[in-house]
Amino acid sequence: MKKKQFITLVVSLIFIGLSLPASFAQAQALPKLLPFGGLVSYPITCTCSPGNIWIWFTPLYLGGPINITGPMVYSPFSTILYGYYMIGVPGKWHLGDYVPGVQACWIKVYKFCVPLPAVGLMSKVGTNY
Amino acid sequence: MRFLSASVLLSMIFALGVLVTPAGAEMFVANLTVGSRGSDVTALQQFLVAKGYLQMPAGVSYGYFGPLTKMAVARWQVANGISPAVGYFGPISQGVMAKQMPTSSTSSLGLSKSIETDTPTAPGMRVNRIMLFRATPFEVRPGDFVTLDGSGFSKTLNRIYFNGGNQIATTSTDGAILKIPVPLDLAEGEYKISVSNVLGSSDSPDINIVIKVTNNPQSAPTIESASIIGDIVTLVGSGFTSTNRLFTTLGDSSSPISSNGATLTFRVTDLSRYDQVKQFTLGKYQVTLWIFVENEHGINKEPYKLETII
Repeated sequence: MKKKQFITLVVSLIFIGLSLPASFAQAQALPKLLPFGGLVSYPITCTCSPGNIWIWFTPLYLGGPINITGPMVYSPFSTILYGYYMIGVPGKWHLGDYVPGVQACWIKVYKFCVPLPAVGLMSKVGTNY
Repeated sequence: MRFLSASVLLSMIFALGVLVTPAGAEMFVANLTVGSRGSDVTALQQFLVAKGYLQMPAGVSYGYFGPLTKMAVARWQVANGISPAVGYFGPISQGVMAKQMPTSSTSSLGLSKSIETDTPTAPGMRVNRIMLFRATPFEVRPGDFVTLDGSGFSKTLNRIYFNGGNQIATTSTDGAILKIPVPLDLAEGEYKISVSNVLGSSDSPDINIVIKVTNNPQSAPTIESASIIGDIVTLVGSGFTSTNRLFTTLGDSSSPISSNGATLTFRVTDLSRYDQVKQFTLGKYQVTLWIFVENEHGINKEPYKLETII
């Protein structure tokens, strides 16, 4: 009986062992996410990358000791939006996480399109009502 | 024996739980029409945005079924042969939409995995569309190389057009950048560039990406350094002309700014969105000001970053 239990344990560990590399690979593929929060001052439509919204926050909380004001980008194609869905509405608080350094807002400046810099691309965000 | 079965079963469940990816299909549980609110409406709007039928205006929140959503649903219904196409999201529409949800062999937007692999999407962009954002430098000679920034470029075949003609074929390694030679037979003048591949064409009625072919190309503005004293910002660089226009993350300049060619000066308080931000910050917040300078020869490719307090 003990021999059977030992074999079962070994089989179970093999199953688990085979599955772990896949989960580690998935975890390694994930981009670095950082938390943020802030109050929306105003949004700007990304005219050359339609659908995306560049949103200016004052204050913008990134976890440091200094008061910061600045922009983040919301993308309906990659940002998971949670209630209450008031994305980019002035005066609404936002809380979520973001991928730092990603520039996902292109905007028309006279006859050219340029990347409108932001702190990063929101990965998840929820808002107050 | 019972212990054996339970252990094997548990380990298989664990393994499957790790290996299987959630389908992510969204289900609608109610009929939706003008006035509807909630997460179902948000899911519908996100689907319509992803499909290109709806563009949510900046500052308008998701979750309310208004006239814009109704029109977008109607357009989607027409495109999918649903009658009457009046913008009411009922059982028939929900059934059709359910068929457009992800399966194991297609992406969330119905593309085959091979096409999706061939046309990588830039972060935050639509996965089923080829988009062209920029061509640099702006002024070029025939035979010079131009770099195109975009999304959805193919790793195997993209066709580049200059004013709809002079086609050349090229490939991209990452889906976001193409490097192309300007055809030698192009006469002087401005040319609209478009890119097409298996996803379609980058042509858009609202966006024209142009280059200027000339035998005497001038460099676009470049900012090498910047300083701020009080509210006066001084940029040092090259390529400035007598009529430069500013664009920054705090807005643009109200009128052109002249330069001696090497320096350019402006007041940060004159930027169009300065007051809008200052009313909240009251001089106590750190801000990163990103600066572009545009003139008849182009615009600086990389914005200059200047830290200040506002």
